[in-house]
Amino acid sequence: MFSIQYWYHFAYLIISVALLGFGTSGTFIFIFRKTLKNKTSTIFYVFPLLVFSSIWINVYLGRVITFNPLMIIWQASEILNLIYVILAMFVPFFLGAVCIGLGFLVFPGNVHKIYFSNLLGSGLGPLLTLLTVLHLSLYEIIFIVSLMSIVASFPAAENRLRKSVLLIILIAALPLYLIFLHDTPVEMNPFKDLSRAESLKEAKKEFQKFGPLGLVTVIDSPAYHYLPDLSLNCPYTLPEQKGLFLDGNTVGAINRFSGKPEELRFMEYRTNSLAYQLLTNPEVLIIGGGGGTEILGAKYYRAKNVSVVEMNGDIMRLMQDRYRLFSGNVYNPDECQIFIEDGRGYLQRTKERFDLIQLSVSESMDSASSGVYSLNENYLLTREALRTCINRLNSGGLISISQWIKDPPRESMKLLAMVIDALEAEKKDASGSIIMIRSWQTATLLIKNGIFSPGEIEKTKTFCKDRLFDLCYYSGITRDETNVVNRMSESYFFVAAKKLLSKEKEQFYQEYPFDIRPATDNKPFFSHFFKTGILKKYLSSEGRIVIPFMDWGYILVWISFLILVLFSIIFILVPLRLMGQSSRGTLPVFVYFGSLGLAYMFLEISFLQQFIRYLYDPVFSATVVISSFLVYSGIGSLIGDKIRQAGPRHISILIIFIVVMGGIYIAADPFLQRALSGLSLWIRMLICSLLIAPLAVPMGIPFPSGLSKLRRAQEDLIPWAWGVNGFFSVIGASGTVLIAIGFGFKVVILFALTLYILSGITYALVGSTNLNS
Amino acid sequence: MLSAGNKDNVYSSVFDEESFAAMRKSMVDRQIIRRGVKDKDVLEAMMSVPRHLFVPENNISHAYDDSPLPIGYGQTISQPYIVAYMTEALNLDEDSIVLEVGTGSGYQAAILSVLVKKVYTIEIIGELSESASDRLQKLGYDNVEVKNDDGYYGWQKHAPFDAIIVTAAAGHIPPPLIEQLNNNGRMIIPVGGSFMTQNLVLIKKDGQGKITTRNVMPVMFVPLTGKH
Repeated sequence: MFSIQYWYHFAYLIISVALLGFGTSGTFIFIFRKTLKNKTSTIFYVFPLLVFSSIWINVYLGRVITFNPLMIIWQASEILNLIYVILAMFVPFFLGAVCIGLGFLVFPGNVHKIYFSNLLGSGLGPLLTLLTVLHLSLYEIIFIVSLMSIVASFPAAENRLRKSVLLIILIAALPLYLIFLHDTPVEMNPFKDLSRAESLKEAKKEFQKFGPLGLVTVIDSPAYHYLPDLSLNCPYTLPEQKGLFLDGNTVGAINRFSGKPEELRFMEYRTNSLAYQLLTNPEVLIIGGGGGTEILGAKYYRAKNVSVVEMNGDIMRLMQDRYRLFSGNVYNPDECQIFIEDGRGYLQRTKERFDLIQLSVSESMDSASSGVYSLNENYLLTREALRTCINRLNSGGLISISQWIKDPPRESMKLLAMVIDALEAEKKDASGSIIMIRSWQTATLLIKNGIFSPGEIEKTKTFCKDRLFDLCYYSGITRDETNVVNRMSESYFFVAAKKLLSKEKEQFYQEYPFDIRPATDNKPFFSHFFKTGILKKYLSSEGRIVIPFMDWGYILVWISFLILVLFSIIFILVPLRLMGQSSRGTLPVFVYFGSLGLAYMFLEISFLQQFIRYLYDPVFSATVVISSFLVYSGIGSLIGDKIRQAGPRHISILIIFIVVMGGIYIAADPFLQRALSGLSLWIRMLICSLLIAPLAVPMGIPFPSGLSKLRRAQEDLIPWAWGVNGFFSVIGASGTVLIAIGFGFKVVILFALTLYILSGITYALVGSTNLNS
Repeated sequence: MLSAGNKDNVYSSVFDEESFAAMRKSMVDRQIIRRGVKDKDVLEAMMSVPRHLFVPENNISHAYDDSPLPIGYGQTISQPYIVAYMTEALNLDEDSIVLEVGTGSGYQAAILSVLVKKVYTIEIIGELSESASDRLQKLGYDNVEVKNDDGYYGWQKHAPFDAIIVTAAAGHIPPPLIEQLNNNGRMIIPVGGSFMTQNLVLIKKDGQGKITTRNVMPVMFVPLTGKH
């Protein structure tokens, strides 16, 4: 819902908010343990009902309070709205976690079983959500989840009155839901592409469907026009278009096409069509079919074969069904081969070779400019992915990629750097294998499996001259040929290409005002351009002259992270001091449970990100990784109860096992990626889940073992230990990606393994001070 | 929602017209002149147009801030400096006929109105178009004509235009607008997100109708270092 209402980052924020709720519950129980112990039955009855209420209060408030994340740039007061969003989401998690944490306190002999049940439920949650999302709307899923919290009250409903109240709520909930929320759309930020398209003249929402890959929407308006790489002097009018959106972000346009080629003559006036000027009847692979514009382009230029990879099955079915006639049956399976899968996955597994592989501009310039994609992992635009792409080309074949241009350039510049790196890694002559052209706002890069001939270069020159496009680079280009029609403040690409193709590459990376180092599988953040130098300039500048050049999405994540850390300190750590709790023996507890919390989240989030390369999809990866980690750790917790009795050294053995398994994973990663490609999704999901087991099962043991040890010596510290673990889990969940941007996911994994070693060392000291005595 | 013509709003008791005039002067001095806008006519226009009457009531206290502001429907009123810079870049005179695509609250049209013979402005969002039209009329900007339509096709009836200002690019620059630009005319488009202008693209048509575009950067930025 956060991803739809706001942007992708906010979806990850929820994991940290949930953990903040869990951590705070530990402190809450620690402070009020005596009262809570005396009213256990009431708490187990009332708190789930409060969870139910807070979920729906949240839904209501989320619809009436406007939060514009990007206004934070200009008005610091908008941070208050962000704080409100975090606090509002925090409440239900906190209330639910109090019930779990209280369980640890009142049933200390069953810590392992409670922990197992908690992890099992948390693990099954993502799986069930993935299955229900195919059939239910977002609010319906929230409705079912809220009902579950009422069901959780039943075991504590000791008398008839309590049971009756629960039954009344359950019976009343359905009609209330149907009256007030059924068929109600999710309130979307007014500055998202979809909201703005809905404001267009005579705009109608023609289609909307919520699926596992997000909310697909089609807007019809006579005023909707979208073709970013169109020439300024295109003499042909665009056909009627409809806007296609995913989670409120632009995917592209669906073009009306009746089958007459002359309706598509505008295709000749796109930078993206340069490849077709250099190829005759090519075999084409289009990655990201979307609304079908590139497929129409391939048809217009009489491609011999067209293969289309579209990862969102909802979009493909939409085009084959509802918009089949409107789009001229652009996704006709008789005319093109269609693959519903991720582009990287397809490239990895296919044995086919192509004359042309096309990757196109996706998100809107508006969103790209704001930097809201700064933390999105993108395994299609990494150096390794480009190398795979190059290896899928026939001799003389081309890759065509288009990106937005800013001034100074970012996306297009990083792409150029990546392409040069990928070609060099493939032992190709990078200088002769690249042509780059641009319009006033997009750049198109051609990469050839071979060297561009003088004839092809001449054709490119003519193509650009006739369409008011600029030449950016080809082998032998002179500075005078660049930056002629659409003048930027410098001949950026000419300068960059020269430097990136020379020994000055490293110096260029360092001096360029944005981070344009190639994205890699280890650091798959293509849209991340932030450099601290820009922040320094912003902070030292008078006025706000650098504001437009900041990646504000990235800054927003940091702001959110700092707010969460601050709340964690206030809610979790400070209360201990205020309660005057003796600090005797708390340091080992702090270090042990803290490092476990941090390390667990580092590993879980890193695996979630890295397994996208095995499962080719962030949603499936999140489902498999989160479910597997939690369920296996739950099993580990149960096993731990048995092996704990084997003696105190079991933790050391487990930690060694975790570290060895983590190391094996890092070493085996390239092999696994190759081995899994080509297998069906369900097989890959199963294998990925099994791969996690040897790591996650032992990871589930140290936490409850630590609690059990505390129970014998410092029982009162159990909720606090739970809180400390929660605090560091919050930091781990939010911090993983922030660390990975700088150092890569492998470093995060190594860091996590080091923390496990630290926890292993500290385990012996946990509970060594018997406060009760 | 908008405050135009509403003298009874809560802010009128906090800020009087003198206060607003002082804020405007400060805005022009600190945000616009200091950053290099020199055209006297443009500066006078920025001094004369009451920006606070073009922003939503709940943002009146921020009307003269150095920032864009939301005006509803996912639209914004641009940062004052960007408005001044874009206006100066169009190189207007009192005989100019200007087309604006994306009226918004009508503030940019009001500035242009002070400087040129006639302003035609198109707004695609019906509610914004209506409120801007009312506001401009009430405030006496009589040489502005507002139309609720799709700006993609320009306004053929009144073409050609000496200058075109596009405040809401829709995925690309519509070729019909280029056609409706007079020889020796200029067109300007801001590029960037809703709350920021990262770039301004200035399109010039010379005497022979030849087109060039230029990225004009209204804000300072660290240039590329090293030898090029």
